[in-house]
This record gives sequence, C-alpha cells and structure tokens, in this order.
Amino acid sequence: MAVEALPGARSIRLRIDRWDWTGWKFALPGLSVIAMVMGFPLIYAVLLAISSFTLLHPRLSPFVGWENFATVTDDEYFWHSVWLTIQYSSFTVIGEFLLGLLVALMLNRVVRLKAIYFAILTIPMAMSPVSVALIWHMLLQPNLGIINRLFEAAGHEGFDWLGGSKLAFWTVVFVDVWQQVSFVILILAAGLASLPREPYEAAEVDGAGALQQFWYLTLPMLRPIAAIAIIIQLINEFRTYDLVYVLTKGGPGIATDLLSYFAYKRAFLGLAINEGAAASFALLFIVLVLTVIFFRIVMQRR
Amino acid sequence: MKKQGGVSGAAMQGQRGDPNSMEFSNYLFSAGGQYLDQNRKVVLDSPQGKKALELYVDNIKNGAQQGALSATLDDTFRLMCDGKAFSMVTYWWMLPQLDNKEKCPNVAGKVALAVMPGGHGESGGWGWAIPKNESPELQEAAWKFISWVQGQKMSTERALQGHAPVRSDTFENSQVLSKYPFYKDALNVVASGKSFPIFAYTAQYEDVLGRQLSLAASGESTPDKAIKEAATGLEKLMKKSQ
Repeated sequence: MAVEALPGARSIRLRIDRWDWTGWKFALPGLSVIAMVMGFPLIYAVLLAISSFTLLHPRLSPFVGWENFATVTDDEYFWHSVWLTIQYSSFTVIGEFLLGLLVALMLNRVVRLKAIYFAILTIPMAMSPVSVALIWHMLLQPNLGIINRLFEAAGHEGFDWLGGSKLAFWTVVFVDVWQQVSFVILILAAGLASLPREPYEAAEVDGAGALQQFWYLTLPMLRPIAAIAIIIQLINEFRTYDLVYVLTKGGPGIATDLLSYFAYKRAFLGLAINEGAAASFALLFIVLVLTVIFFRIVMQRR
Repeated sequence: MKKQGGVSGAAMQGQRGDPNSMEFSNYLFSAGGQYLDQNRKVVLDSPQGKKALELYVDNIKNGAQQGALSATLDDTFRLMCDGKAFSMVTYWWMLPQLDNKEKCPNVAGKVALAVMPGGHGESGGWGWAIPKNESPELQEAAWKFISWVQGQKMSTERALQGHAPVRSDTFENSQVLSKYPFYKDALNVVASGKSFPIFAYTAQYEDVLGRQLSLAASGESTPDKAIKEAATGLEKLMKKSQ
C-alpha cells in the first residue's frame, strides 16, 4: 500500500528545520564561550597528559600515550593520595551534609531576621580558601594561637592541631567543613522552602509526629536537592588543594597529602606538567565514577 | 629546658618541604655529613647523615616547641621574638629584626649569631643568572648591571642601608662594621656555609627530603630508613636531570 505524504508535512518540516537553526544561532555565543573556557583547556590538558611536555622540554611532541599515567600510578605515594582523598572527601561531605541539614532545618523554622542569618552564613563561603587557611593557621598556632590559649585558660593543655599526624588530617577536615557548610545550608534551606505543604497537612491529620514527618516526608522529598548538594560538594572536596598548601604542605609525614596537592607537586615542583595533567585526569576519573555511582543509588531509590 | 624553664630549647621549623629541608641541612653539615661529594655523587646515606637525622628527630621531639612539625619560618620567628625559645636556626640577616627593641622587646639585646656547632651550616645564598637564550647585547647589559650593583662601592652603600652583603670586603668594611658589629660573625657564618644541592629538580628534592624528614620526626619512619629513602630520592632526581 502506497503511503502518501500528509498535506502540509513538508512545510512543517521546513518550519522545524528553521526553528532548530534559529535555536543554534541563539545558543552560539554561549556555546563559543563554553568551548573557549572549558573545551580548549580540557583538550589541551588531554594533549599535555599524553605528551612529553615538561618545563624543561616545553613541547608537546613526541606524544607518549599512556606513559605519563603509568609513571604517576607507579609512584607508591600516588595510591596513598588517592585513598586519603577518598577518605577526606567522604568525611568532609558527610560532615557538611549532616551539619548543613541540621542548620537548614533550624533556619526553616525561623521567621524573623532570616535575611541576617543567611547573610552571616554566606561570609565563609565568600572567602577565598587561602584566606580561610591563613586565618585558621593563626588561630590554631599551638604556642601563640587563640584556641590553645582558650584551652589553657580552661585548665586544659593545648593541642598540636597541625603537627600531629592523626590530628592534622581531622583539623584540615574541620576547617574545610567550616567553610563549605554554608553552601550546603543555603541549598538545603532553599530546597526545604520549596517543599509543598499539603503532604504535611495530610500527615498531621493522620496523626504523624514531627520525627515521622521528617523521615517519611522531608527526607524523601528533599532527596533530589540533597543529591545535587552532595555531588557538588564531593567534586569540590576532591579538588581540595589550597587548604593543604597553606596549612600543612601535605604533612606531617604524608598525613594530608591529597591528590590535588600530589598533582601540583608533580607539575610545578617536579617540572613535569605532563605528569601533573595525568594525575589530574586520574582525579577526574575517580570523581566521575563516584558521581555516576551516587546518581544511580539516588535514582534507584526514587 | 622546656619543662623547667618554660622556654623551648629551639624554635624549629619542621613543616614538610622547604622549612624542614633547610633546617635539617644545618644539622647535616654540622654533623660532618654532605648531600654530594666533589664528584657530585650522592653521599647522604652515611653515618654522619644518620647521626644528623637522629639529632634532628630528637630535637623536634624533646627540644622544640609544641607544633614544630607544622611550623614555618614565620612561626619560629614569632616564638623567638616573644622570648619563648632559646635558639633558632635561621638566616643570619634576620638578627636585626630580633634585636629590635620596638619589635621584639623581650629579646632585644640578648640575641647573637653563632656558626652551627661543628663549624658548618647551610648556606642559603641566591645568585644572579643571565639566561643564555638572550641576545649577546642583553647578556652584556645584564653583566654590566650585576658588576655595578655588586661592585665594592655599591655593595657597601647598599649594606649601610640594610641590604645583606655578599662580598667579604663589605662584611669587613669599617663603616659597615661600625653600624652592624654582628657582621663579623655573619662573615664566619657565610664563609663556613655549605650549599643544598642546586640542580633542575631542587624544588622537588626539597619535597622528597622534607617528606622523609617529616615521616621520621613524626615517628612513622626510622631515621635509618628515612635517610636511605632521602638518598635514593636524590640519586633518582640527579639521574633524571642529566
């Protein structure tokens, strides 16, 4: 049976084609900017990672394929940095989420002076990590810092916050959570404010308590927003470099030698920009894998 | 001293990297050790090197201030200035900062320079460089400027204004000495100083060495193992630079 084209089909198709092209024209300026600020550096980084480019040999050729990745992963301290970064990111994100959720829930009940609370909360977020690290470095200075002075005034001996192998890791985690928690609070507070009221009213009619409402309504409805906050923070934490650079330089020993700092050292102390790029791609790969896994878990539960 | 006098024996900069590498170098040269011999062969893993690291670790643990493993030059300077440490290993030209009644009233008039025990310390001097890829005209102009600025006359004038001299005749100049009497000791410090290995990967070696020093000082490695690893790291980087 012959199929005849519907009358007017050609003109509709033409309209769609024209519409698509118009859309592309509108998107072109934005796409050009994205290509320049994201695409070019990314492609250049890929080229660096497979090249022989170092500060002593500033040329891409000859290309060496996977060799830089092999050199980086052969370093015993690379795997230490990978494992440490996974631990660091997990602890900071968990801390930021729990604390952020608690504060967001409290702020959700506040009616008066809400704008002032939010303004105060954004201050740490607006500060550069280097400034934050310098401030905390002075506060935590064991002999002259104000925190140990407060402990001493309370009759307790001060702590070696950044000089003890175990404590230094947790101190950097704490400083990071202090700065980054504001972002999580703001995202979760916005999410809480946008939740519909009807399910809560129905739950109240059914006699559900505050804890039940939180567990069966707030948490499930907040899950997409929470997932976004966690993923953004996970990516942020995996890239942590500034705090380590200012506070500990990766020490004491190798206690705070995170992967970003490892990549920096390869590139700028070791003059091997190619190996630094390879280490950065390893970091990117780990973040991508974790993000996909996390998304799958969230989506399955939905 | 720390327990009885309430003052640390030494303000130590044990932060990993440049601070602890430079500080340890003083211990190494003081104990008679070296990084490289005359043929630039790595000789760090020696009885003297091990002894130096043992002394360094012992001092970090028992003689230094709390938090020495994360301390930098700024931290140690503040401690000395505050009168909370008996000694520190640092650049000789920092003495006028400490011996200043306005800035450091607790210690001004009570501090002096001394060469490291053993007769040698780390020489933290920097040098001028003329890039070989510049044109001959620019290279000549650069050399002319360096000759002028480091010449006897200009060097003396700069020293009188507080700049650190690099010429022995400036250190011994009577005008300079009358203004800065401690330059007599400073000359001994400079003249007896030995250099950290300077090569293409010096910055990376500071990190490699600093990591081993920090691991030993924090008890995560032994001085014996740490000095061996530090020597192996230096050998690898020296080989890479050839």
